[in-house]
Amino acid sequence: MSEFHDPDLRQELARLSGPYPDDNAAFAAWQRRVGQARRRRAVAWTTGAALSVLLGTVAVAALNNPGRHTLVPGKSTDSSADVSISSTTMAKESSTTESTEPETSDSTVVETTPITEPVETSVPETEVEATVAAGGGSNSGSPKPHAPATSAPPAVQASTLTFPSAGGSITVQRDGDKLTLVHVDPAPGFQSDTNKKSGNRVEVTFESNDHRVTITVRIVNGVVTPNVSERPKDHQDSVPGST
Amino acid sequence: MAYTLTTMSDYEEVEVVATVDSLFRAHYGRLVRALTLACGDREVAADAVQEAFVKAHLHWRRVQHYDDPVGWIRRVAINRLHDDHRRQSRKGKALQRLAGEPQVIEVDQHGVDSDLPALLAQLPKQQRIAMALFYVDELSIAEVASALDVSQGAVKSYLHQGRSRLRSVVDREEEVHSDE
Repeated sequence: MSEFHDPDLRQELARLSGPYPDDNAAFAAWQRRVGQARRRRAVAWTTGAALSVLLGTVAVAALNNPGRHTLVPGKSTDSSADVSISSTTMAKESSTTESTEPETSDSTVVETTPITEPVETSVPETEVEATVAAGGGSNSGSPKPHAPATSAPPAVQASTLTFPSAGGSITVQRDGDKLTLVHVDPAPGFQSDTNKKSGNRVEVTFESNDHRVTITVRIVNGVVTPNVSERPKDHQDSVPGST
Repeated sequence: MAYTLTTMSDYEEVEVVATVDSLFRAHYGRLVRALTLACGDREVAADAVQEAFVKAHLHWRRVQHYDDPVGWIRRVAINRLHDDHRRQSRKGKALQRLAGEPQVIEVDQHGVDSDLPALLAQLPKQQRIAMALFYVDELSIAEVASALDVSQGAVKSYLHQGRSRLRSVVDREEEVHSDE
């Protein structure tokens, strides 16, 4: 028997502690609290998991694209602004009429940016040959292949741009700092001649009986910059290869 | 009612519910009564015990491997009471500072029924809990020591001091009843 055994004190304290609580009501209340606690825990877990996924995604994206804030050139709209083609040039554009002579027949060299905005197109699948247009010139015997198609598929970040001119259009594929000529489409009455088909510069010359149009595409400060020069053909010897 | 259990988690869940349920039904009332005596407020005591059982349910996979799961629940409830007591003490002191007057504890010195709760309320908290666990929850001295995280000698000291103070009131009550 313990020295603290005291039935009277035990009885008094038991009386002070009150009756036994209603087990069923207490059990129901406890079950509600358990449900609330489990819901709170589920919400906490879900929120934590969602935040973890979000942070992981952001971290992976940041690691995969460190400092990628440069603008991708090639679709800038400023190239379409300079349509400084004189009336002479417009006359040349209708070069199918062979009798049309430019009003200013002197050696004016009109340099323009592309008449229209470069259009991104898909790379042609088949090899392209520039055919001699009707009323062709001296090389009408055998069509000369001018623009061999690019055999390599476009790179991941490659873009393809088309530059039209009065003498025809060319399609250039850009892959990083490298340009590749993928398509040449002379205008009727013009014949194409590829001067340089890949590298940091692409140059194609379209010639008709009386006009020569040279399209030169370069990458200048990361921007694809076309340059179109047109001149009458009778002055070609005086300014050879001028852009 | 027949249950179809298809996965191991179903079995575990049923086992958890059954075990915690049985513990709740077996010990909830005794714990509430003991802690009511310890803290003087039945609602606070019931809230602390329920909270302890909720925690036991949430952590049952760990708690079930303890030697004395009920002892763990009891300690959680007592700690909850300590937290409430500290909170109430801070609140009372703050109110006292705001009022600028010392708090007066009203103690009824006349009736036997009011003397015992008043004396009990004046006991130190650890003594009060030890008395409640020993005399109401009917724990052994070792179990009380484990619940309070003190030595058995300390528990004996608490019981001796508490009993000597309360015994006088109980004796007086017996005298009143015998005179009647």
